[in-house]
Amino acid sequence: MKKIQSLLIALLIALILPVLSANAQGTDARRRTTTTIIADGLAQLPAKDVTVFNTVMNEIASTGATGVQSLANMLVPATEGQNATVEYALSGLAAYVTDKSHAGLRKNVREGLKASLATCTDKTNKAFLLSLLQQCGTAEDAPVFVSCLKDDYLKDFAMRALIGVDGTDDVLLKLVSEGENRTALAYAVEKKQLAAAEPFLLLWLNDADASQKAAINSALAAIGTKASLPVLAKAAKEVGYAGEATNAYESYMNLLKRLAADPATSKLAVKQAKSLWKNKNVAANVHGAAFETLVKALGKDALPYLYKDLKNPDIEVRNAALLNICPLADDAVSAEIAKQAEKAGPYAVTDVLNWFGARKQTSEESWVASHVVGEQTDVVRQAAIYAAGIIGGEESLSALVSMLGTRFNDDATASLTRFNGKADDALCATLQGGAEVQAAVLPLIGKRRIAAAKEKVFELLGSDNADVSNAAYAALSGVVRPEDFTRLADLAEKAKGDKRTVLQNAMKSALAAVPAAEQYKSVSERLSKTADKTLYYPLLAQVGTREAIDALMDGYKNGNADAAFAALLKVNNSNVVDRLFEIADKKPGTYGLRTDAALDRALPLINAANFTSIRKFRYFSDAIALNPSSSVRNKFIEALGNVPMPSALDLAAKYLDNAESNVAAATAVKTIVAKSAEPMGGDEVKAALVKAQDVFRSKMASDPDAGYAVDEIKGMIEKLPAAGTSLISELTPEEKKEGFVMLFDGTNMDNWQGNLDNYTLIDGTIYVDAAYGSGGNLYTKKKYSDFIYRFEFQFMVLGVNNGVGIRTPMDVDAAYEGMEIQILDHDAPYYRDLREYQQHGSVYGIIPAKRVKFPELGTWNTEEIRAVGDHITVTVNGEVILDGNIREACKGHNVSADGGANEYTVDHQNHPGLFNKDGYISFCGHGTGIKFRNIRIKDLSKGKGKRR
Amino acid sequence: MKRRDFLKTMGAASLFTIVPSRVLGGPKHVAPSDQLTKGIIGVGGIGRSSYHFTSDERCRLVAVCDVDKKHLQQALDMAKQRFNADLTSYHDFRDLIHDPNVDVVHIATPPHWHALMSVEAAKAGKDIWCEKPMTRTIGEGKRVMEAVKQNNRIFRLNTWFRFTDTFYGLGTTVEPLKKLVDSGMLGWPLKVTVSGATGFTWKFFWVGKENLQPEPVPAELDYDMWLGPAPFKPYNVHRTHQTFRGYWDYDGGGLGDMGQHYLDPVQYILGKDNTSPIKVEVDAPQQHPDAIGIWRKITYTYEDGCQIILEGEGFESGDNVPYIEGPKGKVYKGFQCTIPDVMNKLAELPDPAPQNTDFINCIKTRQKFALNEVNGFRSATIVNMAVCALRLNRTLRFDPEKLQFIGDDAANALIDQPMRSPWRL
Repeated sequence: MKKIQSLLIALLIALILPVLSANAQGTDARRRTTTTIIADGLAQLPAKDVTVFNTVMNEIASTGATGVQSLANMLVPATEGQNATVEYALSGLAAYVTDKSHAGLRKNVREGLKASLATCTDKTNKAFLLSLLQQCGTAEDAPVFVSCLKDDYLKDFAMRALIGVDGTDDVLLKLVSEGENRTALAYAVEKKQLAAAEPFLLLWLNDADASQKAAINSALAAIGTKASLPVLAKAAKEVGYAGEATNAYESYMNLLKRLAADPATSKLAVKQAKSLWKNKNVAANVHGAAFETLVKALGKDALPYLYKDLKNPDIEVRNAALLNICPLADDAVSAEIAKQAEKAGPYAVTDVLNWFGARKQTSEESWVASHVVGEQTDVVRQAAIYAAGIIGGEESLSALVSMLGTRFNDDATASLTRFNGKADDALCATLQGGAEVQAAVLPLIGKRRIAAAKEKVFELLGSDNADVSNAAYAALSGVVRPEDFTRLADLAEKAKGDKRTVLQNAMKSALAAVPAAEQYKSVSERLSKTADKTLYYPLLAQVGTREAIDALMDGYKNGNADAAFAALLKVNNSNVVDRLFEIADKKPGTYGLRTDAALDRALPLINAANFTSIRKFRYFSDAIALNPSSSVRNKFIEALGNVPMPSALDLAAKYLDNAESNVAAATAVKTIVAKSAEPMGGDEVKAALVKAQDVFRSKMASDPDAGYAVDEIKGMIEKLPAAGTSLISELTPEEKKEGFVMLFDGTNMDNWQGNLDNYTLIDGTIYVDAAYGSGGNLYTKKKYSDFIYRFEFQFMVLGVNNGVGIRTPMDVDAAYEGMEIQILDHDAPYYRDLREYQQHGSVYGIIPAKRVKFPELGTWNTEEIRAVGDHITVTVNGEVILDGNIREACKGHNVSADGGANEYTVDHQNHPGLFNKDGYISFCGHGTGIKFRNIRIKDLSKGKGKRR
Repeated sequence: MKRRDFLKTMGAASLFTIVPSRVLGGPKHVAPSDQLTKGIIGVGGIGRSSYHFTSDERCRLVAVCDVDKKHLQQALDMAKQRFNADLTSYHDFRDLIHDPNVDVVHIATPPHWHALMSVEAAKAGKDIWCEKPMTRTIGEGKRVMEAVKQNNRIFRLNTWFRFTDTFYGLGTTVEPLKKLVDSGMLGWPLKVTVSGATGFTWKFFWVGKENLQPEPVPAELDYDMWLGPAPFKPYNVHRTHQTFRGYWDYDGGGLGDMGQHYLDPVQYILGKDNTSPIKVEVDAPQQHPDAIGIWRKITYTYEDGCQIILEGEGFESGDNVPYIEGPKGKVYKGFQCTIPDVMNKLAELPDPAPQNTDFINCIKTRQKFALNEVNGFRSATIVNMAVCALRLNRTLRFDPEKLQFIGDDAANALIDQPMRSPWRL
């Protein structure tokens, strides 16, 4: 019931207020002034996500042009303060209002930015504001940009804004007619396609320097008519059609291209392109560009030029022509090009083969295949083999297969390996051929796992020809399947040397496709019958089950240590980790000195395993304790960063002074502190970070990223919570004697109610992470009337806004329905226009407090609020900053007679709850970034017998 | 005859008589006439690193350029020491580009210069090696593509995972991934997740600083030329060498700088080299207008429903997120695949189409390099799309044909940003 009621009241206020408010400053539905809205917004920046971003930007933009202006006015020269938060706000606004769905607020932001630009004197800030207006401005803002063109520092920003903003064509053309800033204006003409500027640009060319010429020539290329053509043609010729400072050649080329595409000027442009194409003195890239223009203008009529180019001795000319013809190269054109290439000679044929390959020109399969076989120069044949592999098809296949075992075997094998099509039958057939061909095709059979060739491969194992036999063995792995295991094992048990290894691999390959348990069954059957146990160790490693690992450990302990260890290192799952540690343990009487290899193998398996952090940490610390070489140790020290917990930090920190391990340790320390789920703090953590920072600092000369690590650690140290000392607050003996009680001692939230989600107990403090307006406030469980309330608070970020509500009901705005003693980091530069009654310690809207100068962020402040009847006293850091009478302050008129604007309160608001007899004490936050601790109270009403 | 023309015609002749076209560079001895030359613009961290500061018989380093006198001197000393070479040194990149002794222009400056220099080199008829990211904006990328095409240049964008090297957390090259995707075994559409969990790091320490104080410009640095087309802002050391990555005016932070490394192979794997996503969504804290910050998640959606998800600060899904996920299968970090015996199944399929990965050979045979101005533009575009969405803090829709955002003028203004006078593109 109560909730609904207060909702109704809030709604009513929202409806009435805009009408009744006599306040010059606008207020929103929650009766926040513009200043407060902006301050609340700033306190949440940079916005942690899109939702906060949209809310804050909407609220600030809704304060109107004056709000945005006051925000922009908060910028200070970089040497006088920190602008980042305001920059986040302003750039956020400029971006936010360019979203179509927020277009209604765009004008507010534009007008606000312009108003601030008019008074801003710092050039850097002014440039920044111009860049924002460039982003969200419209043609209406052009005069602001034009006015900045007179300023040497700002004119570049202004000109870019005129280019960036839509609808400025007329303004730019007027500037062109005036003739200042020619380089920049020519660029603007180009970007905005201002055709009407052509006569001016042509005129400007007469007395332009190189830089101006470059801009003008480029602009003429973009907008010029045929009037510009002779000018650019002449300029390009003068510079020999080379790239140079005036950009004449490229401009000429681009103009030609443009005019060639326009039917009205095409003829003229084509004529010039032809003459450029014919000019023997131009570089290949110019010749190619001329051809590109001809292709665009003439289409297939440009083909004869290509045919001529194919005869050109310059490989660049030939290939440029082929590339440019691509859009027109249908099957018929391709066939004609092949024919012309034959006429032109082997260079051209090679290029065309490469071109067909790159384009996968399947219609030319026959032509390509014909160059694989028959009389060819080597270069041509190799290009053809390459192209045939990509193009594919039956003819390509048989041509390629015919090259196996020849001088071009390697090229043919490469093409067949990636041959896109069914090559199996053709390759199998080849196995029936002579020894040379057999030896050549077997690697392909193996690589592409052609099972159809299996029996033939087994047969060729016994070939008299050593090359063929060896190739058959090598191919075996590819062609065998599970049913071949027994047959392979029979062979393997008789084999020696290299053949034994090859057959082991073949057995592995044969079984690879069946489940591990079945693999183990097949292997263990053979294992039980043979004396040569080690033959099957690689298979056990592949199986990798606990049984298989146990079998390997058995071998390790019983005479086959080397082979078993080698196999254990190949096991690819975490089942083997404990066994590797067992082996790594060098204690006398155990298994020898394989520590490094075993641990090095174990590490990636542990990292990848689904173990808890604590289990992983134990492995890491055990590994380090086993004293491996420093290189392996360092890997484990770095791995501590994967398990960010205090014990990992302690262990890593031990190696910060170790010359061989300090970098690994520093990396781990940094990672652990950064990633720890529970914020780490205290002197020991700080000491470790400082040392780690020193380590990185010493590496800065050799490692560019070390500088980042130094900065990152600096930030971490600054934010480090002061844990480590006692987190529990206690009453002083005096306080005890006087009758104070603890409301919050750092151990529990027992005396509090309300928003316990955003006011949380962390490290002995109440940490506030409430986003503005979410979830409500924190309240004492009891009500108080007269009292002395003591607490400590710490600002963690700039501009924090909170408050202590007193004598307030729950879930209402304490500033009006009770009293709010302001908590505000009013030193933040963007609170410049703050009202006195909004300063820290004020009875909000009623009695201004004396301005406190806060120590730097992250320092604890003490505060006492004494409330006795109408008499309020606030003491901060030992200094009384407010001592006044609330009834006198408003002459008894906490509300106006008619409920409208109140001429007696300093904020002209009504404060119906000002004279409440009692109520809760609350923290009423506007955002994250503040901590409280050591909260005590002395209930003064008790002594008067008014105990409730 | 100019050195370069001599090289080309003779190169072609020798091609015919001695050297097979596809194995150019194979012979141990290269005649000086057949040797290319290069000049490096920007000899800071990247330009002087061992991968780029090379000089060999196939391509000899002859010139360097920098606007920082210290960097320039260090490069000259290094060349003397390593190659016993006396390089020509330049302050103005245009002089290096127009030097007739330079065949290949190698661009290793901060990204805000890449487009201008690439276009200038293309106009001068030079072939180009450009470091990633290709360009700072979509519009600049388009312009590079046009200039390279018009002048028929060979352009290499330098990142390489689409054709070589282990691809971060996958533990293999991208080739088996490409084969797997092309085979259809995973089904369609696919979702790719690029995150710490799949083995990638977005280098969130590459962030800028707010509240920079003006500082005196060091005597060795031509700051105006360093800024070039970027808006003038008072000098602070953090804007420049090494840390420039943290400022929108010059680069795009971890996303801008690593994005093309990570996403170019994804476009290749998904077969998206000639198109772009139609939508980009961002989940991030608000970005500062100057200093780049962090982000949590970026989601790209293609017209066919394929998605690429970038997981950033504090958003890693943990070890259980697949790198590629399709309706029929998933691939996790280390190429762990839900399809049994997948490698053997892949072996039965043809290898992907060949890629031209020898830059020098590409120049000599005038064939496009594997990662060139066209597919490089598309992978730069995908990164730059997200940059626009981050800066505006909203979802953007994109037309991959027109290369414009749909219904968002402010986003389109970020595609084509006017340059500081007198620079133009």
